[in-house]
Amino acid sequence: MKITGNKSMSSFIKIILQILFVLGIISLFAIPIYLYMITTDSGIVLSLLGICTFSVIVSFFIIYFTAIPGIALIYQFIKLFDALKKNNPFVIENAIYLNRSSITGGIISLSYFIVAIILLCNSILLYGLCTLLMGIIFLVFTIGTYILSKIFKQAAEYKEENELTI
Amino acid sequence: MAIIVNLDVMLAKRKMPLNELADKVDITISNLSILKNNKGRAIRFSTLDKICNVLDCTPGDILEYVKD
Repeated sequence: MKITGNKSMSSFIKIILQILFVLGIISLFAIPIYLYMITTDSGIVLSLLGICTFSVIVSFFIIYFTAIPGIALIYQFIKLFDALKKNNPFVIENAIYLNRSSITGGIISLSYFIVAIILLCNSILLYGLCTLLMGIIFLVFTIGTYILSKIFKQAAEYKEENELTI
Repeated sequence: MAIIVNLDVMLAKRKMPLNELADKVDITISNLSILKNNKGRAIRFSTLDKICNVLDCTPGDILEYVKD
């Protein structure tokens, strides 16, 4: 199977990312509406407040808002795979998309670390460790995409120089 | 840039159009235009050799150094 171009792996992944992007936006708006509906319908809010401590609620909100950089991250990858679909990987725009991806990944990673600290400080060990693991995964992703963005930038510069050598 | 390409001057002196030079040195017109308009980053010795051979000149006639 082809890696770049039409009907290739890149175009297939781009479609998956577009579906994820739409689902992400729907989820972002649907979750608060759904929570509002179940809490007003059955008075669950009181029991939720009884079970959940303040720190858990804060953690929930932080994790919820990481969806925004998450969607932005998917959007950058859609643009990146679109360039791959057009058989044009080594352009400066791709380096910019990867750099933006690393920034959004960094925001998500930082958010997860904050949540992990909150949860671990409240002795919620299992969820705390899982969140810490997610934070580490996103940190590795951030560093990886940052390095890739620099490599892409260098490759784009070399390509441009090669094209302008007569 | 400090290096100026005077290809248009040499072409005018030899009364040769750009497309004829492109045909003779086997380079596309777009690449020669890049060179002529000082947009190029570098020039290969082989290209310079062909251009000098066709225009019957030296590299110094085509390239000029201007101090910034």
